[in-house]
Amino acid sequence: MLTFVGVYFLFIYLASLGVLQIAASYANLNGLSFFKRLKWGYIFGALLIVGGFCWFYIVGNPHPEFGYAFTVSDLFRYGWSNPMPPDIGLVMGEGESVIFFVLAVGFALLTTIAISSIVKFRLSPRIPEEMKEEAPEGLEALREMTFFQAITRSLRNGKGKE
Amino acid sequence: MDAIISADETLFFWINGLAGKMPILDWLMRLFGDDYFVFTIVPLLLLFLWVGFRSAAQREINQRAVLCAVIAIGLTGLIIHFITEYGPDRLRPSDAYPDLVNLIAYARTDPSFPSESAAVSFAFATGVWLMKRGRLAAAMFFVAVLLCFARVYIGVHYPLDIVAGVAIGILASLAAFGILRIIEPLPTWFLKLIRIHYMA
Repeated sequence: MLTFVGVYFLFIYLASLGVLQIAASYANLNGLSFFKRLKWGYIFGALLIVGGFCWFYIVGNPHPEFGYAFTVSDLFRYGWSNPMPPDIGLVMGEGESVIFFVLAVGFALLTTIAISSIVKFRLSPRIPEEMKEEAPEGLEALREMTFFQAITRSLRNGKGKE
Repeated sequence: MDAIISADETLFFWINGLAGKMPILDWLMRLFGDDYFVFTIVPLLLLFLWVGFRSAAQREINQRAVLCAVIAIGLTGLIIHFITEYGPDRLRPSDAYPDLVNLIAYARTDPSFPSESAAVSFAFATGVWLMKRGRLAAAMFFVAVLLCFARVYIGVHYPLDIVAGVAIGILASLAAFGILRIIEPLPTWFLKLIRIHYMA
């Protein structure tokens, strides 16, 4: 059975993955979306967010009457498998929840980059060679190409300049 | 001071007295007053703000709004830590009046004053609003107000704790807004640096 950290991590991971898909559709970031039709991004994203919240509040949380969590010191004191003090059901401390939140968002971002780069590997940048100097920077570049293509392009351009 | 405390407690018992009468309202308030619900929704809105833009100008404003909110949260944490360490150690309502309070959440053990949840939720909302006044900031304020009400309803904070938390959150956001202006061009360089890696 998953410990509370696992339940929380999965919740944030799913919800962040959903938010990233909705944001990619909203911003027209083809290279970050998993789908050809952006409206599927909205549907998939909404399902992931709703699924994440249902998982945490209905399925995964062993104590739905509490916002259950614990501190890192509890992990050492009571162990990973049952980190809650036996008498008080306390919550994951803020510091710990922030760490796991950031980790889950990071993993969701990596997953988004990996899946979109694989499923959209045929996406061809529409920017002509002569306009490469004015090519959009940052996330905007992902409207025309995947993250992997963008990184490859900047590495190639970097080598070309040397 | 006694009059303020007395008025605060009267208001608390009036709001908390509503608990336990309507199960659906109790459920909703427990959800909004939960340690995770709002603090998941609001950072996810920030994530959306970071990635979801339709023009380069909008992206710049959105991402600066996120930076402002994040700095505001850091400052809020520092202020709250300072107050809980050296400020008044006010008991939670359920500890002060164990027989009178309708506690419909788990009993917190840390000091009641000020409300960290109120401070953090308002720091998020104000931080975004200072940079980008729109529907998203309004939604964040709405969620923050609901959270503040819910914390009193479920019996874990007095209204005065909430007011102090809101004030701290707003002040921290204003300070973060000022800091971002003072340390310019650092935020610009930071955004440029992560744009090189296609992350902003």
